[in-house]
Amino acid sequence: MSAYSVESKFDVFESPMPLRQQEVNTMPQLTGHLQYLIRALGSISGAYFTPENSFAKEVKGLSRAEPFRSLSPTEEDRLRLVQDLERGWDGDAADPVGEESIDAARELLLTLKSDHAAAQDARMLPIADGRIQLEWHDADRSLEFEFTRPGWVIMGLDRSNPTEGTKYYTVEINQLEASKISAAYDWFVRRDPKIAPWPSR
Amino acid sequence: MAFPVEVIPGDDRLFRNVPNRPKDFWVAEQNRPSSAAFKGKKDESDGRFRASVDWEKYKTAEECRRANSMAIVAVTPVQCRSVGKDVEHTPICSESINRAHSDICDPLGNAMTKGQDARASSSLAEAAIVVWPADGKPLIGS
Repeated sequence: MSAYSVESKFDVFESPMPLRQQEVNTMPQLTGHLQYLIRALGSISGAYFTPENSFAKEVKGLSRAEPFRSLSPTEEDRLRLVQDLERGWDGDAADPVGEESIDAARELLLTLKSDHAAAQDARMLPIADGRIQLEWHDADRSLEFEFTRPGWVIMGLDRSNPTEGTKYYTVEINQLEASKISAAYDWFVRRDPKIAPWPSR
Repeated sequence: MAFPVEVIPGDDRLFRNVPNRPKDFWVAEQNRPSSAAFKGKKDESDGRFRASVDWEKYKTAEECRRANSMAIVAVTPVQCRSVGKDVEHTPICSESINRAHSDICDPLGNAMTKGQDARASSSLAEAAIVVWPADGKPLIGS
């Protein structure tokens, strides 16, 4: 367990796997995508599987159930791409993305998926100094998590009112705070200012 | 050879490379680059974060493109200062000579917090205009 991940939630990760996941792991012939789907379905036990997006006013199936142990295949691919970037990936003098950033991104996403099993796949961007940024976007709203060693800056952009211009909201966290990560994602998908991790304005 | 450091007029364009990997450097839904494209590195000599750009006085957008470019975007010093950043002409006279080289950086003696920097980078990403390719369409997936 890394220094920036001391949430008790992660203690659960160390406990024996639930039977459902053991069964999944005994089927090596399944592709990564299918295994991930089964885990996702198992994780939201008894609830509706509703893909989350910005158009879902009532997002169901978000019970605080089993923690996730793995990212989606798409997220794994994106993380690997960022991890494999070499020095100078920006055509200039950018540093490669450090292991600390990769591990932090993975832990943040697993934390998010423990509350939002059907969360949209995150986009993963390298930063020139070797850090990482996670993003979600739709036409008029964005959510970004910038790793700041050891914490994160969470930023929301709201462009839904053209006459007011873009509104920016930020909050800085010093370690993985599941409630704020979850609230930020809720703000992005549900468009409810009352559940945002930053004060409503 | 040493180039003089000049003052960049407020409305001159500063060109920034947007890499093509990962392709998510372009936010297609909002037709702009990711804010990550405007986040630079810390200069250990003065503690300020700097993002390299090229001043249009000495380089064209076409000359700024690199093998990995998805797009070259432009912002102005006025736009940078409006979000709390500063602009400095920092010509390079050593190995790779570049008289156009400049930095978008934190104000001298007033390093920005991470939250302020995140907002500033996002604002610049929103303000940025694609100047290469000429048709304004980034080469996504190239």
